[in-house]
Amino acid sequence: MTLQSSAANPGLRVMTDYPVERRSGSARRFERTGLLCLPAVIYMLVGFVLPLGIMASYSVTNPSLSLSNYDTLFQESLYRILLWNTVRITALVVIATLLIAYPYAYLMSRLHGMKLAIMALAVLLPFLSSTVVRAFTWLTLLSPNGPIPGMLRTLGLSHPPTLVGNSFSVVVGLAQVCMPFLVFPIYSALTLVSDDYLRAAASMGAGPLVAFRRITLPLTKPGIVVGCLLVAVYAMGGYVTPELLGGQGSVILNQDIVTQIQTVVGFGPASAVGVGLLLLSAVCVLFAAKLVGSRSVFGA
Amino acid sequence: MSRGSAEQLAARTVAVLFVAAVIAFLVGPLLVTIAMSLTSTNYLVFPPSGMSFKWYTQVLESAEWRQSALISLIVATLVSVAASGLGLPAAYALVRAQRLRLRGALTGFFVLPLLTPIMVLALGQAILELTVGYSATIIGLVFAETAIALPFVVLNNAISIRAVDRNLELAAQTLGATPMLVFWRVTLPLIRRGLIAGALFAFIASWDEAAITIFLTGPGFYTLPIQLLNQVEDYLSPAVAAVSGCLTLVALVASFAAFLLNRAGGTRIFGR
Repeated sequence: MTLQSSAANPGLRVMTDYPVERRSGSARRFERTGLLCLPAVIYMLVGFVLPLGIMASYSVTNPSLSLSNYDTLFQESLYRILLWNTVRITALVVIATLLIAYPYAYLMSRLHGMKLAIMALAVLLPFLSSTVVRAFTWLTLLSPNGPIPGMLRTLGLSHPPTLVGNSFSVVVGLAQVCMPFLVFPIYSALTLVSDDYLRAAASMGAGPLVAFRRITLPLTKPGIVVGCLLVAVYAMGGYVTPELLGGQGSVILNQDIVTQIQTVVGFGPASAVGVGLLLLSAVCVLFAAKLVGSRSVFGA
Repeated sequence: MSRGSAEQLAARTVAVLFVAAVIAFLVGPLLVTIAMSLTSTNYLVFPPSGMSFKWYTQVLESAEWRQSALISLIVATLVSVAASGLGLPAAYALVRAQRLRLRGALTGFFVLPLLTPIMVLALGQAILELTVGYSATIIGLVFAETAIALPFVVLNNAISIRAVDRNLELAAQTLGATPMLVFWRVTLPLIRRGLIAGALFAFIASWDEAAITIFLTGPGFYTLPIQLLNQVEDYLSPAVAAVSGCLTLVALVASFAAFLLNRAGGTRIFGR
């Protein structure tokens, strides 16, 4: 009975998975099992926490012990523009991806077998292909003499809009690769929305829209929020796509980090930008955790 | 009744057109890359004119491209081994340790790299490795990139292990097998596919890495994505498309493999 209920409701698994009697011997062995985390924890401390810590300390000690690097961030109008570009492009990518991913995931949840497999694979392919290649291909496709403006001309648009070298192309390029972050969590959540719920709602007089708003949407909310968070962090962190597809008007904070390192060799100022970006992503994480609970954000 | 079915037909048509458009948006560009690389002209053009493999031959004969491909291959293989070596035991502990007080916190800790803008981590790694003198080395790259591969491996393996019936392990234990033997003979064979899929994801994450590698490579030591990035920023030759074609083919093969091994792979890794 415990096994059945755990299969039906994954949320219960943690509690019901261990129908083992607790002897002192087995308890001690399980303590040892916990130690298997240790190598990965040690690596994470040295390979993840330490680098970020060093970066944070560089931001206030390099070139000298002061807050001058942060002064620059707040004083120079350039950084206001870069911050605005980062936030704007990130938001656009999240919205664009969500608008495509939700209906796509919904249709996936209605299918089985080969059709489902093809739809899932199509979402994964861009994510698994090379970032540089993807950006480079969009560059070719969207360039003024490329096939897509050409197609627009054939369709009667004599002066197609500039599609590359601005935020549009950056958003297109990022939305393509960010699809799996939203499609799969929403798909998983949708498969848990039983048709019975919707039938029950319909029998009580709810139209399809009301049923969607009151039943399907709340049940898929954790998937949506966590997916949007992953997309936002990915969009904030990428360098190649904005560098190759964006233009003068769409430079983001990341690109500034690279420019600083490659030209000035100033780790201090770049570190301050890095800390700023880290805080920005932390705000997103906390916001998501507030919306759907930290278990959904961090839990596997 | 007929009105209802007409509506259904219309809804069906819209759905099919929508899915076709999205798949074209997702997969179309990849196919275009391969088509462009087969051009016989000396410049990039789409639709390609003529058909030849000359750019592939040129790329394969170039020492520069071959060296960066070799570096990428070695680094990606080692990252996938390192991330699996660290991630599998960690995932096992997260799922099976009975009195792990910090289970939630630890899981969150391993997921953190996914929630960190990659360029920020790249900068921190660069400062660290320049300080200790490991930049532009294979070891330096493997060490840094393992951080971004680890979450994929831990998440994927944790889900595989959770799916293993605990009673099978207990049965083996009752018959006298040591915990190590139980893991080796019972658990490992059952999670084999998930383990390989996780390792493939780690491989691809490293193979395509172009943020950490920007700071940790240098003249004479470029990974394939960085070599490609330098070339793309210089000028667009069909050689770039040929390399892109090769990379896309590698990605296609790897993803089909991951997919066949683990049909629910996408849901597993991203679905949480």
